[in-house]
Amino acid sequence: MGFEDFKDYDWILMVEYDEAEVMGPIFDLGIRILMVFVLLLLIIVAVGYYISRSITQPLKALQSGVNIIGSGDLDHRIQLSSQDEIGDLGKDFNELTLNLKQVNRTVQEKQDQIEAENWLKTGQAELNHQIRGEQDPEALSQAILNFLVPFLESQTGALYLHSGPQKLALAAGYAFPKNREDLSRISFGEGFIGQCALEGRPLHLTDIPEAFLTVDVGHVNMVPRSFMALPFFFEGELKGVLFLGALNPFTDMQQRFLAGVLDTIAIVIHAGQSRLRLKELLEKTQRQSEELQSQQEELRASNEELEEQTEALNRRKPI
Amino acid sequence: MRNTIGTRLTIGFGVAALMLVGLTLYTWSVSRQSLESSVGNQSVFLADSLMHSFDQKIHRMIEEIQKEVDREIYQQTLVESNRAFARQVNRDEGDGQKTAASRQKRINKNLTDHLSKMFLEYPEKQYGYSQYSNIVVTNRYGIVIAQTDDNTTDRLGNETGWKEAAKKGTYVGRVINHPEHNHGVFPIVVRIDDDEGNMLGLIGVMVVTQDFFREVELFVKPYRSTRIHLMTREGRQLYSTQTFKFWADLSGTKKYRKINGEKGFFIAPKGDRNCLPSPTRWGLRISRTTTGS
Repeated sequence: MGFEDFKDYDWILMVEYDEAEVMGPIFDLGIRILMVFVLLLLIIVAVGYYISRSITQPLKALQSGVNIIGSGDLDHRIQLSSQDEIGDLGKDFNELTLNLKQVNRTVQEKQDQIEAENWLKTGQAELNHQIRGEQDPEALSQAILNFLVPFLESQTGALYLHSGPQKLALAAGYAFPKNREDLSRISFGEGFIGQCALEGRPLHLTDIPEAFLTVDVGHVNMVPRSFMALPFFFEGELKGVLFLGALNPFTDMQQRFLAGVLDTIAIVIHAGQSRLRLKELLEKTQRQSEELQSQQEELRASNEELEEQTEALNRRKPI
Repeated sequence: MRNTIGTRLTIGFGVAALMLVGLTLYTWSVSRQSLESSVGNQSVFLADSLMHSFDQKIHRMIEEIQKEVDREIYQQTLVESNRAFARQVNRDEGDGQKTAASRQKRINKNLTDHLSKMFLEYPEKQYGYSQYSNIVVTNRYGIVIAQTDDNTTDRLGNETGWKEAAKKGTYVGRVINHPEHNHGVFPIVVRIDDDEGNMLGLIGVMVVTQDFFREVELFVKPYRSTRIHLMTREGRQLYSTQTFKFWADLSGTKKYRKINGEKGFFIAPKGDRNCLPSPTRWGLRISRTTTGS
């Protein structure tokens, strides 16, 4: 069997379809794909927004927290609910802030301590400066009050000195009523100050009722709300009582300062009293010396007179 | 330029979405091309099948003609005609074959009647129509000895179809317009041999293409959306399952200009829409039993 190809006599047969008809299913598929795509796009956008937000929101919260903490508020805590690396970072940052606060507190405490020490030393140095020189006890007392009351931010003060058996005498006052007879001399056990002298220990009163003691600050009377009475001793002997009144309670530092300077005050007052007694003794001795000298003069004059009388007698009776 | 994490995430998701768009479009495009290719290849296969059926039909026609011309009437008439023509040639040595042909111009009425009866009358009686027209028989010298239609030509020996058929055994010619009947016809020429394989003459029939189109109509009837166009290689329209004008010149159309190669498919505009034609060039394959096989 052989075959022959009659290529010269070819026909063209064309099978034809409408593209829209043939491609109808694919266009339908395209529409379905488009719908699915739109749906997927919406899901992607929603998921993307959620994921983006779940990352950026904690970061923004962290950034905001860092800014607040950076501005100095170490008590601020970053609240992150995300259980991921950002959440861990927030926890770490809170821990870091806590540690930083601890360190700051320690530093602050050290600084406060240093400042307190400085304040104490400055106060003591200033007090020493105020009480330099040879002053009598009253002048010293006034100088002490003039320094202590403003330095301790008090409003009033008085310094009583031991002036006899079971007695205290007002030596100096600072915005203190000096004309009140009942306050110029106080017996031991009398009132707050006398009780302090009796007990020989510091007394501290706060929340004082009104009109207990008013401080004259011109035309206005202020009522101190806190009082302190501190006895000071020299070699076991009560030298006096320091009384202070303030509108605010005395701080530990102020009390510590007062406790530190009481010995100095006692010494200074004792020295002042000693000087005063010495001066009085000197004056007395001087007076006695002058009297002796006068008596001597009188005796010499008497002697001379006697001698003259003797010589006169001798001359009268020639022997 | 400072980019926030949110911006970068948005860009990332945007890129992912764009890639998804790209992938979707690519998938859709590939699906579209695949469907186009699938439909195109299916169309080519359909066209091939149709062409193959045409081929078989023509093959059967040739076999029928070959069987027909084995009848005694052809053999005897042709032997006598050839012998008479040979004697005439010998007597008219000076005038040659031309003179002999003119003298031989006598149509064998018996054979002509037989041709009409077998190729025209019988099919019309049997099927209601005949797929043949203008049947011609020539002797081995190309002289017409029988014909069913009036034919002014008495000698066909120099025609290409006759030469080809004499040489190869069969010839199928191009479709030509038959203006009288408003349809196309194409010639089939078959060599008539004696029992020893010596050429006695040739028979030529004009095949009416309408019969092929009936076959196409039956073939594509189940496929409502399928349209079939048949045209000559020069672009003359032969048939269409749609309304068409016979022998219309389609060579200037875009669809025709896009036809390249043996077969294929493409998208071509048609009116306000696109269509997917799958043209197949048909090279008629005819099998015949060769001598000695």
